[in-house]
Amino acid sequence: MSTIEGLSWAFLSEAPEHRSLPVLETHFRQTLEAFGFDRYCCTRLSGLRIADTPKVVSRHGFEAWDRRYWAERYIEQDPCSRWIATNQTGFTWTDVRDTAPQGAETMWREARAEGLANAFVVQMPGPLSEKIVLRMTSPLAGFRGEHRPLLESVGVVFATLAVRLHEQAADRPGPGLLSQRETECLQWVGLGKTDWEIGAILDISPKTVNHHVESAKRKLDVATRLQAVTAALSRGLIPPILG
Amino acid sequence: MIHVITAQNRHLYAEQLADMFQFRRIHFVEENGWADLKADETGERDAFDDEHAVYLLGLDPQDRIEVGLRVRPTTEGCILADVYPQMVAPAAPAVKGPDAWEMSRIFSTHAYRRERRGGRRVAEAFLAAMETAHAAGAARLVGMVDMKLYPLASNIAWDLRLTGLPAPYPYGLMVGVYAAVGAREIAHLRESLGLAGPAGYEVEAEDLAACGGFQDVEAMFARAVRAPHIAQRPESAASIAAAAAAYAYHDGRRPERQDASELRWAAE
Repeated sequence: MSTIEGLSWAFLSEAPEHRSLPVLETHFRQTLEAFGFDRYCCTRLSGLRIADTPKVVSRHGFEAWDRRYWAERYIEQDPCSRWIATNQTGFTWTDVRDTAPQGAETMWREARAEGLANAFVVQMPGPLSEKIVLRMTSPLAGFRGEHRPLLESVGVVFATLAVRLHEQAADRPGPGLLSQRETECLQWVGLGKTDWEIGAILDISPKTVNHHVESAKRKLDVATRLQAVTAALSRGLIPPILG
Repeated sequence: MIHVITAQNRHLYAEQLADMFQFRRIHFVEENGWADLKADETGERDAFDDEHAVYLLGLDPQDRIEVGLRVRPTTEGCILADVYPQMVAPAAPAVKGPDAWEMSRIFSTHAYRRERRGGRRVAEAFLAAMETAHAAGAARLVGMVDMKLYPLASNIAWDLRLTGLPAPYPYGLMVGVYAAVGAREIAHLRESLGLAGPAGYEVEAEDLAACGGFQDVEAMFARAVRAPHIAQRPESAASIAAAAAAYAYHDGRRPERQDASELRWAAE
């Protein structure tokens, strides 16, 4: 196994164990460096129209370029948007250059001046029927083709886990033992809802719902959801359930 | 309920299995473009569609397929270990052996996807796969997934891990995966799906004789796995009689009359 394969495998096998977004981000950055990439931006896209502002999940070294990109409305010339809409595999800026409109060259020239010479973009379906897009940029224009599968896989796993940890981190403390999301999720469990239904109600993924319910079970020191609802009711942590 | 179809009850599902092979041709060959698969006018099949294959199908109220997948004991052949061993890292848990079952040919139909009901039914099918493997003594499920589907596959309440580095194949990037199978993992996934009992059930001819059709069996199954503290209601008498009929058939007793509400039982 080469060094880059070894580092990639270390990330792919260890990343699911990371319980916090900062730890995941640090490991991802270290792995990216082995590929010659130094910045990234992971976003959730609910649509591909210009008015659909993406929600940032995680980024590093991308803030200044992102501000310029949206201020100059480069999305109107950016061929990556069309590729994201019509392709499912990862691609580089080099791949899309031939089909780019003239205005895109200005965008890329300014990106190079900011230290972004090339990018590798991967996309995947998000848990809420949206697209997750991860842009990884390098100060070098070249990118070794044989590394594409590894970088794409590392990117997909990172983005998947980052979205989940970002959702979990959005929780807030509650007035008592349980957090805000733990309380909300248990209330809906008490009304007979599944993780999928609770996720649709709260606009979070079913896996995040599961995380909050399991966390509530641990805090309440119970083994099942039924016990968790009962314990939370008896301790006044959730309001009485009305049918 | 997910229908568990083994070599023993396949004869009950002739229509659904014929449709399943056709859906596999549509999904994998026509939509995904997997031209190297063997497909003809009867559908898509491979060497692993043998007597060891267990098919798990979710049906709609008209008994039409919504979702489906195949599981097999890896001791009788394993796609991941036998065909793609390069996708299994040395440190990965064993993907072939008595404690590993393999999932493959996972699909959902156009009709199901059009209804935009999300991945819940597919998750039920995965749960039935875990139950089937666990009942056979397995400790893990293995399989392969296209990397673009990894986010959806890992969004279920199970701990899905990679077996090794991904490898390009003609249609994208494929990676080996595995998930632990045990009583705890099964209970965890059941809870996330709001199920008080198993997702899968192996229908027998006696079930159909006692209850009617597949939907009647599903209705009886749903009542049977519901939490036991059901309040007695007048309409539950018929369902209890139907359940008694099913259990009697399993015990080898046959009714003297066909009317389920007035059954008298005679020992064979």
